[in-house]
Order: sequence, then C-alpha cells, then structure tokens
Amino acid sequence: MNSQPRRGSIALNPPDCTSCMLCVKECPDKCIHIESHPVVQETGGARPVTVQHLDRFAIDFGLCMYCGICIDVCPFDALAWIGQSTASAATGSSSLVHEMDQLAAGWNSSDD
Amino acid sequence: MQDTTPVAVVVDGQPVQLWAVEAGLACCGVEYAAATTLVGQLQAQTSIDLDAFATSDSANVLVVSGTVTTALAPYVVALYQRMGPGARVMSFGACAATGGPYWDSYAVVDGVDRLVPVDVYVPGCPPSPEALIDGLRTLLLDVRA
Repeated sequence: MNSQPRRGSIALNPPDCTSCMLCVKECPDKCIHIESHPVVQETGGARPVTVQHLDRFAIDFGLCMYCGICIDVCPFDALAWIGQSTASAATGSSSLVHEMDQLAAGWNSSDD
Repeated sequence: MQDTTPVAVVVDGQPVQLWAVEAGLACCGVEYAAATTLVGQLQAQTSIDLDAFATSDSANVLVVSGTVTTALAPYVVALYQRMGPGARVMSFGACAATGGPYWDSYAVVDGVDRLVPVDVYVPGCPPSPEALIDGLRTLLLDVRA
C-alpha cells in the first residue's frame, strides 16, 4: 500500500474506520458520506465502552477532486491511494458514488 | 463563449469526433485541450485520415469541460440543441458532473445533467488524459450496446 499521493483512486479498509468523521469534515467539497450507530460493548472492565459501528461509507467520485486530504487526515490509515488511475468513467452520475464494498474491494486488490 | 472546435481522435481503431465546448467554462477546458493533443500524438501512426474526418459536419460528442455557471448555462443548452438528434454528451471533470467544489454556489449549475442528458461522466479534477480515453471507450461501448 503506497501512501504517496499519485493520480490513483481512493480505497477504504472498513475494519480500520472508527467513524470519527475527520475525513468528512476535512473534505473540501464534502464528497464523503458516513453513517454509523453507537454500540455498547461490555469489556469486563469497570464500565462498558461505546464505539461507533460503521453502517455506510461512500465516496462520490463525481465530486471528488482526488486531493488526498482524507487520506492524510485519517488517524487510523483506513484510507489509501490505489492504482494509477481515477475511478472509471460512468454512464450515470449515481454510479460514480462508490459504496463501502466497492471501496473495500479496491483495498483488497492492491496489496503492493 | 467562443464557437466550438471539432477534434477527431481514434479509440480502439474507431474514429470519434469530439465537439468541445471551447472557452468560457473553466480550467478543465485547458486540460481537455491538452489531453486531446496527447491523444492525437498517441494516435499519430493510425491509418485513418483524421483531417478528413475532422472537417465532417457530423460532430457527435459534446464535451462539457469545466464549471457550468448559471450565466453560461443557456449557451451550453443552445450548443447541444444545435448538434441535432443523436448527439452524445460527455461530462468532463468534477465541476461538469456535480458542480465540483462549487456545488453549493448560487452561481453554479450543480451538474450539467440538469441542463442536457449526459451519456458519460469522466471523474477527476482535472481528469487525466487516460481518464478521457477511458471515458471515450465507455461511450463507444454504450453506443454499440
């Protein structure tokens, strides 16, 4: 996984995402959509811990400027550049919205 | 807005004439011009007579490259209507597809598909020349299907 910015696309590793929303806040044109819900975990410690469960992570590549700020701000390296080209051209604007499974597939296919 | 300029390119051996919206839009127009120059150089060895094709009146693809402001929107629509039936439309870059970073601006059309039907969206800010070729391939596959 190469962390250097290049003219590739952006992939997500969902298990590493904590739904912290930093990428959503920092994205210059708000092309990242995250939905999550809180889950209370019994850790066996003094008190239960509440974590966010990621329900949806989508990037609108029709809007994305491929600036890489989301990759830079992610504290858990859940986002990374992949490949040498941007998302493929689409015949409908909605098909440029890549959902979590599609973004994760990109991550899994590039173990370079 | 200036008049349109036909550009002929070859993708997978098939000639495609692009009718680019020149000037008046935004930076993607410059990137598009640079990209088509590169495509032309890449296809320099082709046996197809591109010059003859480029003078044809049958421009078939309108490339909207750049930010479509509300002030320029009527010109884009007029350009599309002038091309006649069968015209294909390519949205080139984030601004043409969705408004890009200006999607929330009062003065920008947030997606040229609000004005004319779009056949293919090429992502990027700006799209690379490779992305343009990818978009043309997608368009050709769509036409053949």
